[in-house]
Amino acid sequence: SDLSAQQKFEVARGFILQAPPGEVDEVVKDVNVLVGTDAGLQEKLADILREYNENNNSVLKSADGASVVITKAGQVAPNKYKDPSSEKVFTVDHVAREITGAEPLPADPSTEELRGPTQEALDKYVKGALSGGACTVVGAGPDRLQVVVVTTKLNARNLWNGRWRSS
Amino acid sequence: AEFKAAMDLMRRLPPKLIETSLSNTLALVPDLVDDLLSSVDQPLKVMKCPETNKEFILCDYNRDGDSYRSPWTNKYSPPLDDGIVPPDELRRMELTANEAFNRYRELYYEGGVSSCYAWEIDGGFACAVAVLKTAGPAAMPLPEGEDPRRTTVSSGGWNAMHVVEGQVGADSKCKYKLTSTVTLTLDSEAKGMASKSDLSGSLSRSMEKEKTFDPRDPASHVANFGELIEEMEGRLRDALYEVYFGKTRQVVSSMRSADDERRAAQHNLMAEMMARKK
Repeated sequence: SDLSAQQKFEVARGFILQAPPGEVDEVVKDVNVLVGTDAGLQEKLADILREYNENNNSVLKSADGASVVITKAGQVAPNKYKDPSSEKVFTVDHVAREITGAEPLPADPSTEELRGPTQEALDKYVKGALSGGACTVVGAGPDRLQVVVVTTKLNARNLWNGRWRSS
Repeated sequence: AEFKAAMDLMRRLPPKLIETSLSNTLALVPDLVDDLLSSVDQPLKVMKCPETNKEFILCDYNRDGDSYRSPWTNKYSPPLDDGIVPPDELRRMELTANEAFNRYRELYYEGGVSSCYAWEIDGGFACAVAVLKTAGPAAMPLPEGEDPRRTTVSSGGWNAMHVVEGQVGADSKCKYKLTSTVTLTLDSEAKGMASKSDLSGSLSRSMEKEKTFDPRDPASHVANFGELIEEMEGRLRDALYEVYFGKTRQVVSSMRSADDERRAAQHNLMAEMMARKK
């Protein structure tokens, strides 16, 4: 085809970022068929999916029930996101969409005064108003908090998927 | 395999962006251009017929190369020396179809543009009927103090493409096979509010029916498939209503309960508790 490898990659990246909730894997599969191997998609897939997870505030889980809402503000290192509620920093695999490791998150008393009660109040709200919802409150600068509320309902068998996301 | 992947992708990506998605896909796999252009419904466009000054719809069925045939004059714009045109008898039927659907469109849509294009197939004929109606774009200014949830549609489009195949049989009977697709876009924007909403998508259905026709009058086919299209559009409109509003509302409610629902649930709970205390 007439597109350069870089252009093919850009098209592929554009498509993947537009994937509807619950359909990322299918879109990646289709894009792989259309793009072929010379666009270098496989090596950069993790980067694209990291952007996807951050844009859509995906909720990634671990086998033992831990979960973390992916937000740009919550990123402490490549592929590491903090979850103040559980006082942990989680390492994640963006492609497999799961938590792969955890380490303790040192408490931050300066933000906790505002963050803590906000999280508590929002957790109560989320439990009542959302179904299977998650909420994360992280410090984002002096006197600033980033709040993300998200839930997804996936029902691919009946051909519908939904995501509620507010920030 | 590439065609299947492309079609699957077109079905999943945001319908609002179908034109860009399709052109990007064709850039990746240019060999699929004919197959994809005839299988993926794109938003319809119109052109003014240079002779009659009337608008007509541009689609794959009146296209030859980069020129489009006007249903009013049977001529191509930009002009072509040897563009494909339907045989005379079919052209007469096509003219009748255009007139009939013009009246149909005025009655059901009160505006918009409709065009019919016919061509020969083995054992009969085929005819495409396209209807396009757009509204907006105009962000409705919300009256002072009005609840933003009362925003109405500020722009949108109804794109209908019906393709009917007529297989002529013995005893003046003809089997009509109709495949219809409606693409509907509804945008709601309240001027002055940060809120915007976009509902877009398309629905495809097909049906088959055998009817008798008058072999002396090609227009009788038009009456027959016209009835099928009328019935089909009614069905599609209802189905779109169900999916766009009914199903969407259901999915949203399953994620976040509406305030009035919760208040009603709380109210019922309180009432029940009071009744039990007595």
